[in-house]
Amino acid sequence: MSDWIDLQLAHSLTPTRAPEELWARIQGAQHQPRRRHSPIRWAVPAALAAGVMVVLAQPVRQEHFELTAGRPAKIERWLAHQPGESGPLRPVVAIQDRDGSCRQCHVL
Amino acid sequence: MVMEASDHELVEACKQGDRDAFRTLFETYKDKVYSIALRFCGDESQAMDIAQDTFLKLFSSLQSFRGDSAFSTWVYRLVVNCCLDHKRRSWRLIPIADELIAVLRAPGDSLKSVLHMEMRARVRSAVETLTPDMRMVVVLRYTEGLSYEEIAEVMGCSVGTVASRLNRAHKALERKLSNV
Repeated sequence: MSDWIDLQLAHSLTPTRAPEELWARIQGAQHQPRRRHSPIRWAVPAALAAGVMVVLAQPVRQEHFELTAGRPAKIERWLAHQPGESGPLRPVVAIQDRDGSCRQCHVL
Repeated sequence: MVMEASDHELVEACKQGDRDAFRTLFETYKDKVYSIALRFCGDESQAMDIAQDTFLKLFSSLQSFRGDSAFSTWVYRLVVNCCLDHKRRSWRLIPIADELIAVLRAPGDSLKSVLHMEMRARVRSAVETLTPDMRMVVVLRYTEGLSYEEIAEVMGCSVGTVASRLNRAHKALERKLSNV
């Protein structure tokens, strides 16, 4: 450590007396009513935060399709936009109803 | 009698609402608080604001002082926090203006005193360019004469950190003042 710097700091940063008016200022500030936070200061960020929360909370909307067997072209278009779904629709297998059972998935 | 009371008795009297005790506490610490504020920010008007804030916080939070540390340490912590908070809120655009005015206002009795005053102004300006943490360590060390251990307690860091900050401050000041 440089003695010169040490000496200069000791000479330059000496303590000083507080101005006489400091007590009067403190007294004045103590008797002033406390500043209240303006409601507008809080309302704007709160409204923005609420808006962001609403947007984030919204589920991703999907287009509603009514998939009916009578409109295969529409079903194909919808499937083309679905991830993992590609290729043409398989032809419909005719369900044969013999002795009360479809023999594929249901047993009546 | 309040005027001869120790800090502990004064604090207890303040907690009971004794107005004389408040005034005595203020008289005891006003120069320390103002000196730290002034040497830290280098501006009389800002130093008054910091000192005012410090005493308002001191009086309003006196009930929470439990005596775990010395009362003077608690006061130092308050003023250090006020200084650092104030620094975060404001930037000083013309740091050497006050020193320049002080030099110009100096009584022209001797060239030596003017040169000394200018030297002090340069040193203070150089101190003001230090980072807030380094500057506060320098102020507590040279304005208040606190030991490394006391500074560490006030600033809530280790003695090693205090020594390191002071060492870096000295080196930075040496570089800045090398052309003087």
